[in-house]
Amino acid sequence: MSERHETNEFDDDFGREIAAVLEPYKPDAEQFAREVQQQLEATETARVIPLPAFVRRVAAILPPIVVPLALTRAGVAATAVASKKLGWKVLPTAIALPAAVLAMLFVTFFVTVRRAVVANAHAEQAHLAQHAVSAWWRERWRSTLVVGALIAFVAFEAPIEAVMIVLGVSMLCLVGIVGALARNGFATRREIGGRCTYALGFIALMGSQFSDVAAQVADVERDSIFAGMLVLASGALIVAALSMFRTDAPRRRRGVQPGIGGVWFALFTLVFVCGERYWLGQREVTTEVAVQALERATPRWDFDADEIEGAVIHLRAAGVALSDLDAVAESFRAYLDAEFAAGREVSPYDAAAIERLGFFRESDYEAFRDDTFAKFTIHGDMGLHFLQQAAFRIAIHDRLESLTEQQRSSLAQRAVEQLDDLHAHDVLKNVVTVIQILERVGHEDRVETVRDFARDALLATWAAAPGDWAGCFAPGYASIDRDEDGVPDEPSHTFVWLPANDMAMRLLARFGVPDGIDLEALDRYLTEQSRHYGRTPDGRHVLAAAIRSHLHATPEWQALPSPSAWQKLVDMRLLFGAGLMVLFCVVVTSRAPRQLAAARWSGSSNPAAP
Amino acid sequence: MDLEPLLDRFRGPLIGFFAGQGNAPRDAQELAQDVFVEAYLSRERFGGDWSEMRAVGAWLRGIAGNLLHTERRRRGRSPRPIDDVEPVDPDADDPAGAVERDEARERLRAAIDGLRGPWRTVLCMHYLEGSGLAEIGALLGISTRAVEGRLRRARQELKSAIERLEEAQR
Repeated sequence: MSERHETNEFDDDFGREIAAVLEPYKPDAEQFAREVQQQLEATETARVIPLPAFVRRVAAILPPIVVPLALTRAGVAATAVASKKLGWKVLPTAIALPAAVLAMLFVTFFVTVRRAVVANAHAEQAHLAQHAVSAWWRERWRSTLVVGALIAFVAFEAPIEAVMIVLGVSMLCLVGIVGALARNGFATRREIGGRCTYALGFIALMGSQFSDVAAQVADVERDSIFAGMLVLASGALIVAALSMFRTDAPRRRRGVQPGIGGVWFALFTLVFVCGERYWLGQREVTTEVAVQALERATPRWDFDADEIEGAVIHLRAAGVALSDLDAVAESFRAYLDAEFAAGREVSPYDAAAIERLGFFRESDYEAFRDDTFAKFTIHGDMGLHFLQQAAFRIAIHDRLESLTEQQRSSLAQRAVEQLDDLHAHDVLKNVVTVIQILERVGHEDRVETVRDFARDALLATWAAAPGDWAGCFAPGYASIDRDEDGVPDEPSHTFVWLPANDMAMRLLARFGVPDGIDLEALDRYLTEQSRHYGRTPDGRHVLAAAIRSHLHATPEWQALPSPSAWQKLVDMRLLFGAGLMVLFCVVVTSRAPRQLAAARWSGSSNPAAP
Repeated sequence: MDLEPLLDRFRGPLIGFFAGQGNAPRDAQELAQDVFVEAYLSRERFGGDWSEMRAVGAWLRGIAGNLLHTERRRRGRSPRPIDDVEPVDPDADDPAGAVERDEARERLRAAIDGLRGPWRTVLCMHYLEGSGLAEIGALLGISTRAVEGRLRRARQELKSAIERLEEAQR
């Protein structure tokens, strides 16, 4: 039975009725062939003629694994064709997904902003962007959820090194895919280079701006971060120059040279990174700066008396010569004279610090005479309930009247008896004050009796869990949030606690460092507190720097093992990472074609020609 | 690879294939065009003989299946019935007869729409352009005799469905 015979069997009136119903589906054969041909030509043309700039910009950030389906549907066939021709392997795509997810979050944000800004002027592009982004999320929301959850899990549970390695490898994969795209003619060198320039510059700007956070998260020194950001900014400039000058695109005779924006941006980034480090950003107070600041200090304006006293004590303990404190002495003198002349009561805390610094005149002692205190506390046996005020009054009356040995011994005994509550607020200051009283009344031999209490107080106020990046001492045990076992459960390194660390350092120097106190963590806290904006530091910055100098002079600090070669390499990982990223960007940019390549498939140039 | 013979042989069956899956006329035509474009672009992956119709049909069937799957995912909805399309009215000059013919055609359209998938697909593939059973068999991956059997069964089902519709209207 022939085919024609079989076909005729069905070619009756009923068949013709069916064919009539299906008439709307019947195409014009020539039109159909023409449209197929046009579609093939359009695809080929899309590979030869540059795609719309916006599409190329998006694709330079997000390769076909991320973008293209929606764009293909929107009429840009080359992206899909490119992805098929490039033959993406599953593994690199999967590895690149975390970075792609993060990149897509950024793109979603920027596209949203962009749509809001240019919706009227560039409706077509805004539509494309909206279409691409929504299609991406629609098609990949499940994978995104899984990857996002994994990133969150890893970020919270895994060591930061593991997170950095995963994201770094992922980003390199993404860069590699973009590079493969570039080699396959999807975008020009200028476009790839431009994206790389802005990516490097953006990271450098963010890294410089948030170097505090970066230093804590990555557990590296700020200088290492600065070096990394400097490499990124320099790399951005190199890539910008590479993409601008090593292209075959004709130079314009008039108007703005294409790509010059990237160069300016990279230059701005470089200046910003250096400016943030040396002029605009926070600066660390060194010992030399602290000494200079102290010698120029103006009490009660930018320095408190306590801060000056603490800074002087710690700098002297660190072996720093303070030859010229005349400015401070004159300022204190002026302050006291003004208060006395005006009949105002001088704060006993300020007065005590000034007295301990040795800036009191004989007449000043008389001004602070307190007969009631002398009657009940020095000549009587009243307890030293307000230790700091009591210490000041004892110092005054020790100068005004000669205390008997019995009175001195009694005062020393009562001072030591005040140290009965490890969890008292300002316990460290209380210990230091007791020691000051003991020294004042000539009973230094009793200082050893407070050693255990002092060391216990240091441990009770140490506000860091093992492994915390920075650690400091709090004013009291109750100042710190703790878990059920009494371990600090959330680092809170506030500058408000700096006076407690002033006291702690004095006790550490005198009684040694108890086990459990991380001196490197304390050093990081003090370093952070010594940073300041502006030209001149305040009192607390100088005090923090002075405490830090004192810390570095202690035998315990000097006995700390120096970092191993491996640790030094680990500390430089940001620098290596930045260098690697720059290298990749340079390679990707330099390997991108200067002009868009022709279609890779070859064959009949007119395949569907009738 | 010469695209023109492919177009002549498989254009009708392919459009009919997509129409039988519930795609609108323009969508069915565009999907068929996409099949030819994709087949041409990926021709290097075709390992068979271009003159062997069954091999080419299997190649096109794979591409068509992928496109159909992608299109359904993209739309995220079930196939649209054939009676959604705008009908062409060849009897516009004869309003009286046109009404009667329109009713009969509506019944036929509804009956086609109500057919099971395989019967509807094979009807569309054959009657859209009067395509040969061999091409249809090559595309569907079945023998010519099986296509003939399906077509015969589809017509019987269609007639029964029309009769049921007529009785229901009385």
